[in-house]
Amino acid sequence: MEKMERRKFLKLGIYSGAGLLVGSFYAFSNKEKSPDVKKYEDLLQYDWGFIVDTTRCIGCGACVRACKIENDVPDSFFRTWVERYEISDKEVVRVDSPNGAIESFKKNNFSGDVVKAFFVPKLCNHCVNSACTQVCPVGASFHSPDGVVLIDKKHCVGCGYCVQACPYGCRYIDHRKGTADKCTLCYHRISKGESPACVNACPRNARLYGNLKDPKSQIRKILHKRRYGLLKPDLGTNPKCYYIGLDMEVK
Amino acid sequence: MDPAQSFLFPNELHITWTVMIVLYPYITGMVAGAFIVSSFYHVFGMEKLKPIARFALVSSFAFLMFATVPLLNHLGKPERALNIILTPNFNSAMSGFGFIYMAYMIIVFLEIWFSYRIDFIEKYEKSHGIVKFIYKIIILGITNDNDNTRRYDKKIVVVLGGIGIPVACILHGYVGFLFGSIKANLWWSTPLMFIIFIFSAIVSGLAVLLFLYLFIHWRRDKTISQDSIDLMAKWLWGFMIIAVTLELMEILSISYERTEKWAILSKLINKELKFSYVYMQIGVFSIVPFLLLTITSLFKSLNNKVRNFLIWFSSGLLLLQVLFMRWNVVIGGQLVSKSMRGFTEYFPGYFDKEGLLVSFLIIITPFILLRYFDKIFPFFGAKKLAE
Amino acid sequence: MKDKLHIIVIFSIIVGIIIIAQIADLLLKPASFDEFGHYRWNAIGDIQSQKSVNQSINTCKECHNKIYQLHEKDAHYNVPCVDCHGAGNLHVAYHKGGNDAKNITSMQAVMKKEYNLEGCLFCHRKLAARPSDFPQIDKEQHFKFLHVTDSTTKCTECHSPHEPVFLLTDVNQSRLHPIVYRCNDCHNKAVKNSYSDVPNHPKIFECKDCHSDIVNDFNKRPHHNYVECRTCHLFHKEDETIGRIYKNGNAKFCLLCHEKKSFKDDKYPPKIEWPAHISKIENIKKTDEKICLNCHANQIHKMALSNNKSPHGSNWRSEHKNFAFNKADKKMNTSCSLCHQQDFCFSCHKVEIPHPEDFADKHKEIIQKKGKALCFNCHKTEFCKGCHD
Repeated sequence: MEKMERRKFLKLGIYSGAGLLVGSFYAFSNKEKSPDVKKYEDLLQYDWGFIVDTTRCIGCGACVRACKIENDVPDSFFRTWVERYEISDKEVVRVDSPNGAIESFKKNNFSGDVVKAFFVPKLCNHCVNSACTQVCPVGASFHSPDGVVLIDKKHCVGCGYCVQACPYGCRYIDHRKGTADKCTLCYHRISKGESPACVNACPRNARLYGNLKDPKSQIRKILHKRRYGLLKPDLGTNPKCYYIGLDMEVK
Repeated sequence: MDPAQSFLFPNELHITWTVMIVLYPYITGMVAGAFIVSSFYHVFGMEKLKPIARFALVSSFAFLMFATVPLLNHLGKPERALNIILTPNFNSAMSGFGFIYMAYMIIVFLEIWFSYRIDFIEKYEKSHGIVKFIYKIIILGITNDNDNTRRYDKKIVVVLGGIGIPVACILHGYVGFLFGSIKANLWWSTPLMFIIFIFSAIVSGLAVLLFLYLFIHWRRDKTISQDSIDLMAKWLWGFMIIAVTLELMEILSISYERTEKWAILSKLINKELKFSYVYMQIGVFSIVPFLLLTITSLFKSLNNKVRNFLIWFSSGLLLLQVLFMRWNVVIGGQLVSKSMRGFTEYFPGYFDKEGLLVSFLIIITPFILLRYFDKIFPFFGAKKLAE
Repeated sequence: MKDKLHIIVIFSIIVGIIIIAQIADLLLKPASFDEFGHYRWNAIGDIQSQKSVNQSINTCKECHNKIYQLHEKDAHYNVPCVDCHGAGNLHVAYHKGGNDAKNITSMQAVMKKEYNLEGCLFCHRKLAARPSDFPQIDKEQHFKFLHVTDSTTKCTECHSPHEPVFLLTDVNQSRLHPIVYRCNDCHNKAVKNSYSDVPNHPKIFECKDCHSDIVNDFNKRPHHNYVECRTCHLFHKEDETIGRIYKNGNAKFCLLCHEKKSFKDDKYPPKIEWPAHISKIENIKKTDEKICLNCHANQIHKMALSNNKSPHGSNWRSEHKNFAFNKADKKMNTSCSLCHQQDFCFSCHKVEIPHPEDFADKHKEIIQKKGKALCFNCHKTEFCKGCHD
């Protein structure tokens, strides 16, 4: 008799425990308010691409400053930066980017003559076959329907795999928030028809963005006219950031 | 004075994967290695390994308990860690972590449960009060013990061991694959990484078992099962040769092919990692154990005491070798800039959240845990050597 | 069967746990996940709802139209307001009012105006890596060239940020011109040879290749020793083959060198106070932008000024006698001598003006040589009858 009662008690305990557990999952489940956003079909009309004209950049760093203010980028990390390449008359190459060029460049690197020198602004290339979205274990790094690689800050666990996988060094872990972060092509601005902060700030038209799906867009026209290069094309990431006047010293 | 060439992408100044990520493959390496050794007895019936089979299983479990600790410590948002199971992206090598870890945990737990059932039943009958209640929960209140149940238990252990070997290989191998498949990183990207990690794991598993077995038997003044030790030492020697050869072949291959990355990687090996890789990992911690184990494996006439001491010492060195290997791979790979023009620096810090003190605690605790596991799952000198 | 009980129980427990985990998985998974791909669809909305901070020039011009018009015509037309004034979202929200303006204080809404020297140098510091056509200076050399003695002088003391080089022509209307280079566009150190003496030198235009007349003329005049063609004829590149050049002559541009300032060397180059320099001169259009050239063109190079070298207005030829000679005093108007030398009148009248004392006696010879028509330029034909029959 005692054994029967104890067994009944145990059964009751286990079943009610399981029930409570499942019920608590309901309580913790994420019911989200769906914010106003364009429909999926509308977004499919766009495929955002970017052009960096290295023949026009003067390395003033206005883009870096504008991006930092626009997107609250933490200190010593960069969503975009400018690199400077200088080749001396003795064929020595020197590359630098002092604090991402946020305060431009203060002096030349070589005291002697320089035979070739130029600036290369860099940012997330928003690759079509991006390594970062492939390796995210939780699906927090993804492609939007309009071709922008984005990070879901509410879902990211901060494992850092995407930071390792990006060949271009454009991702970082925001230590204040614990999640990954990177250039979003100012998605919040381009969705309203405004240009990204860096494009807006550039005084030399060295940065351009546009819809690659629109055959009449400026970006398509430039790509059909000028010669351009991609960064690390051998890695198969299919980046959508095109560098006009790209020199082979730029890795 | 024209400055020397050294350039990093601005985001590369701070490395992302710290010493925590060095510890994680180290610990899972020992988990996988110990389990595979145990399975060689259970599945393939190597009698010589019988004395250490249960010990290996429990060690594997003890280390497994602690495998996620460095990862959780490292995550930016550890409270969201379950996302890896809720919304896994199966294109990612890391996504398998949640499921494989849980599957392996179940397998090891079940294998221990079935192996130790007889001991648990015995303990249950002999103890009183709360301890008796705890044991009752563990055996699920079923005290059935006869030849039939023992036969069934043994079969299940064999099956679990058999399934467990590939799962253990994947548990540790996926980490190697994860590193090897990162095409962006010059030091990591190779198809061999998966294999190197597995062989290195077996080395660390064998080494930790030998190290602890000899240590515990000396402390408790028990007789050592020399056959098991000799066999494991020979295997350790063999696997160690293969593991080190694979790594050196990798470097030989890159240096021979002279592709673009060789210029910066040769600087990495000759300067940044000179101490930790060339001097420590290869020099001290590979060549010395290799020589010692050659002596113990080839010279049969050696005195057992000396032999066991040399084996114990080599195991200790190899444990450090594997730790250094993990460090050189994980940290070394992040020191190189993806621009192929410079290096960054890394020091974990002493009392940081992911610093040396925490690392030390994380490594030490499984060993302490193992000490107390001995009370629950006695792994040496049980009267009835159940399976 | 009883012997297998423990096996069945433990495996059932494991299976039970797995089932509960699956249910948990379904319930705890974020709501909009996997809607259009392996991500949380609502994340798109989250990211889109981030607030814009940097304002575009179109927003600024809605209120600051005058500055916008000025800005668009001069060299900084492509420099957006945010580069110097900062992001501006608080300023715009505060002044637009409405919901967004809550919690913004008037202090927060103030935009920064003063830009320090370092800020200008972000763009204009001379760096080897900057394209040669881009206006860039080495601060010390620039100050030395302009004889600026105070090294803490800000750029804005001379250059208005909205109108930095005082272009006469709208930037977009200026004429297209092939690319022209200066030696120091590419060369760090001073260059001794002319480029045509250097074998394999890249082909470049020099101004004298097409404008040899003017260049030769320029070389004979004072400005030649101190400035080059491109110092005043501002050139900027449109793309790799072509640029735009300005026939500049804006008075404000000349004053960049020639106006007396406290931070500049007193003596050199010759300096004037402005507008004091022309305040005493009467009868000239002081609003003429090319006013310096009207008098000083001959110190630069020969040039065809549209107003025929006269700052006086188009009907001055017929009007000037009303101002030139003061009939009451019977003297020449002294203010003419501020610009004109004594014999200036002779250059048109071909006879001494004012007529000298002994003109009454000598005019007979002059009329014999040059004819009566000369007199009739000023005097009516009946004038002779005043003395002659």
